[in-house]
Amino acid sequence: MKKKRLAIYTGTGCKACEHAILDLHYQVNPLTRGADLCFWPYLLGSTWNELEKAERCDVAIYAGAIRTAADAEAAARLRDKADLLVALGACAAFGGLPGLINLVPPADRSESDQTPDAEGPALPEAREKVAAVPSLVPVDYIVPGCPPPQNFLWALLQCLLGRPGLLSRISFAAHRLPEALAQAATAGIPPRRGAVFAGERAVCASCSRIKQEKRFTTAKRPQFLELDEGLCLLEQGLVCAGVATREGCGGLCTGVGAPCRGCYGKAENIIDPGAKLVSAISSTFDAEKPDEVAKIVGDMVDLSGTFYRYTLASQCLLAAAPPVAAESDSPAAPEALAAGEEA
Amino acid sequence: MSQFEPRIIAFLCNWCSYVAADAAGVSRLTQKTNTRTIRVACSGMVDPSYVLKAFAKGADGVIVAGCHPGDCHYISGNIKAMRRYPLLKKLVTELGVEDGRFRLEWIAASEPSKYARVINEMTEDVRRLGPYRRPEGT
Amino acid sequence: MTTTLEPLRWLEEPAKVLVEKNNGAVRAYFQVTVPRDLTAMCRGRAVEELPRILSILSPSHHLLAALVLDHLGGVTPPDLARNLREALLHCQVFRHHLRKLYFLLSAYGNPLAEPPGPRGRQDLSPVPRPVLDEAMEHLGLIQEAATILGGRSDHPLTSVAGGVSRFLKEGHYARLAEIASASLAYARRLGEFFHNRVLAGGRIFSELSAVPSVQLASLTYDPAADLIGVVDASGQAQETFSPEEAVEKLAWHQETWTYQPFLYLKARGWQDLSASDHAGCFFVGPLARLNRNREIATEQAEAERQRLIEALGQPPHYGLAAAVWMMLVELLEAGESLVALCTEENLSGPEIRHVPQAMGEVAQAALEAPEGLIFHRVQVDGQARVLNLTVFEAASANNALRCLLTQAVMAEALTQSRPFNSAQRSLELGLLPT
Repeated sequence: MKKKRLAIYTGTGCKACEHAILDLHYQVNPLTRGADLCFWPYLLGSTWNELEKAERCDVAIYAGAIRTAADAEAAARLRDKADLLVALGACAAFGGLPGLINLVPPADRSESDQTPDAEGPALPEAREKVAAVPSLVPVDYIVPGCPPPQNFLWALLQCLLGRPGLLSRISFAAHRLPEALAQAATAGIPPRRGAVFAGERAVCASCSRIKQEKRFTTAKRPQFLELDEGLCLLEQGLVCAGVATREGCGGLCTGVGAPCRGCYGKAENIIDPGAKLVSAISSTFDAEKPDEVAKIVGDMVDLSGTFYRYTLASQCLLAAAPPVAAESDSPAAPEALAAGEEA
Repeated sequence: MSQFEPRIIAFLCNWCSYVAADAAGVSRLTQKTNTRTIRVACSGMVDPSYVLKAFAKGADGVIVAGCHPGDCHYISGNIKAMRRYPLLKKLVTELGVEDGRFRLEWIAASEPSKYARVINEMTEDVRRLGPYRRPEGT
Repeated sequence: MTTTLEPLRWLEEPAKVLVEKNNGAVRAYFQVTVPRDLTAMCRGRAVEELPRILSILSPSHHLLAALVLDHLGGVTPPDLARNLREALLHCQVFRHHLRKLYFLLSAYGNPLAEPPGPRGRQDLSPVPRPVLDEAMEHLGLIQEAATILGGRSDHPLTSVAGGVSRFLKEGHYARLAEIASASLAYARRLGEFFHNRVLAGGRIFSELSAVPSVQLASLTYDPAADLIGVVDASGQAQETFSPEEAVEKLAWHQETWTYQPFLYLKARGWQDLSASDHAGCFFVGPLARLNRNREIATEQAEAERQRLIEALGQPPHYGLAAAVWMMLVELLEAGESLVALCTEENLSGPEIRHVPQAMGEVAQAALEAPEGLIFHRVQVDGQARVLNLTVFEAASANNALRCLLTQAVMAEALTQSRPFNSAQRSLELGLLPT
């Protein structure tokens, strides 16, 4: 059976997503048994020229956010060349941590005071706003997480490379995926396009902490708290984004005493994760009067950077670029995308 | 000459502020015509996402008006609205929504003149602020 | 005439090389193609979020950010927390170096070729497939240990202000000890492979030795003395300074042709990269640690370091072979340290955190990460929000080295009339330890 052709690329981001794919490889080469790695710059030095000249890819994986014109152009090229495009990781799927720069006016972003002399070769232009990949080109699948856990990477590759493998590898993921998606992963067939490799409910559904419906009169900061190991973090006064975030990770962060920060993006039925968190958190305020509420809120800091930690660029109603419609005409030409315009 | 006409979304609760608005109309109190009203059962059912969505879809101002605390038809629905407001206001302020665009008011059924006054004030406040623009590039 | 070389394999930052050839002279630019938004991104954030946000730079930045929070809160973590954090750091050293060595080996054997079956062709490459597979297996194992200690793969979570966020579970002690001892044994095996097939001479050694090198001063951090030390290019120890003085001693320089700024020693000034002298420039990483010429605390690693000195001579060294050898030394050191640390006695205790009462206004700390010296300085407002953040990481510290190395490799390739893809390969290998 002919192996599927797989491309892997990172735009602007760290290399954790690609390392996560590399880490899969240690289990006796199943990655190479299943795929023909036709384009992998990080490991193999593949060039764009090689990609252009080669036959079509079956699957392209794009990790990292769109920060520069080069990132945008890469997204357009991979969309053009591959039958299926996957946004891997919170950066590609939602904008990720790089998206936080959208809160900063461009004039305030530079680190050094020195104005350099304009000399030397040009650099790819930095866009004014970081964007998620789906805002530029239609994406077939989204695998959230920072980085996505191994089980979900296995589920993704199993679906898309068409080689059903051991159930044990994906049982953790299958247990938390919607049924149709889990069945597709187990059988080794691509699921419905647009699927997100995560659950539909909120993280609370998988979090092992106990909910008791406590209320509190002051906002807390985690560094000053002796955390109870078993109780819900929201109910200990912390901001935990789990209530607005898709499940799938199994409550990785809350399991080790760190509040969820939403790297899986908003849960299925939520319109805006920040709005959901306003609702959830304010309902824990033990306050009847406006000044009491104002005091609690006054002690809370950086709402926009916490409620939208990974999703500012794509899921914040007041700041996000909407996704490109999947049924639209062919995506904008690479030059237009590079200039920061949208399809 | 075209003066900027703000578009203000007003979430009005069925039992108090909507009645006040209706009475203000019936009494022919002078009101600016910039509001689009949305009648809800209670100010407490105005989810924060409705407010965000209103701004995202082109509203220049949003007002949520409910019964005075203690008078809520559902006992404590307006208290829920009261509890949400400061946090929501802080969030939208951080995201660039200027002071004056988003208000929470208590307006009883018997206060049509208050309704008219609040609407007129808010319209002028928002007119002064200008159109609400989402950050460029989004 | 200009040529662009991209992508560069194995490099974490997106970068490319532009080579301008004019009348037999070559000017090569190492261009990082993505802006460094760090400070702007962190301004306004709650300071306790920094260990999680900055972990995107490298897992060691997570540990360093927690250290800064300790200082800011005026607390020292309990012994258990210190041991857990230290064990996580050793895991990161092991993982970082093994990954680099894996990349090096992949230059001589195809990691993605079909594994040779019973009827497969005999594997005649200098690095047989099983060697690559074993490296990958141990990368996976050490990542498992890092995940146990750090809570999550690659972007750890567990280091917090005053300690760590949770106790280990019952089954973790045995598993960590198991991984530690397997890792140490593997470090020895890998070392032997390198001695027999890479460092003993032959094709691979010739190629590594032929990659040009650049002589610069180097910086390292000594946690015992809490001092940053400067060793000049000739190997002489020059000065030491505390983390408090770091922002006075080091400064940034920005060029238009790369988004990555350069770090340099302020007192010596910035010299243009095309000049012949680079007294202000320095580098960090394994070679910097070799060149400070200090005895290593663990036995097998120190023995290996002595073997290096015997074969190559006293430090300073700048060649790729020395850098690779030093990574093998540090792989042993990390393995030995893990074996010593990963016992139930060391990794259990009554307390995981000392809770601070208040946050101060400013704090800084340094750490010797596997990639080199790293430093954070944070200033916060009355609500413990970040007002200002200064981060020195290996990418900006080594930027000058990378640029000079690029120039040296391309210039030499021109004199030897080597094709660009061969020059690019030399550069990729030369950049591995930086």
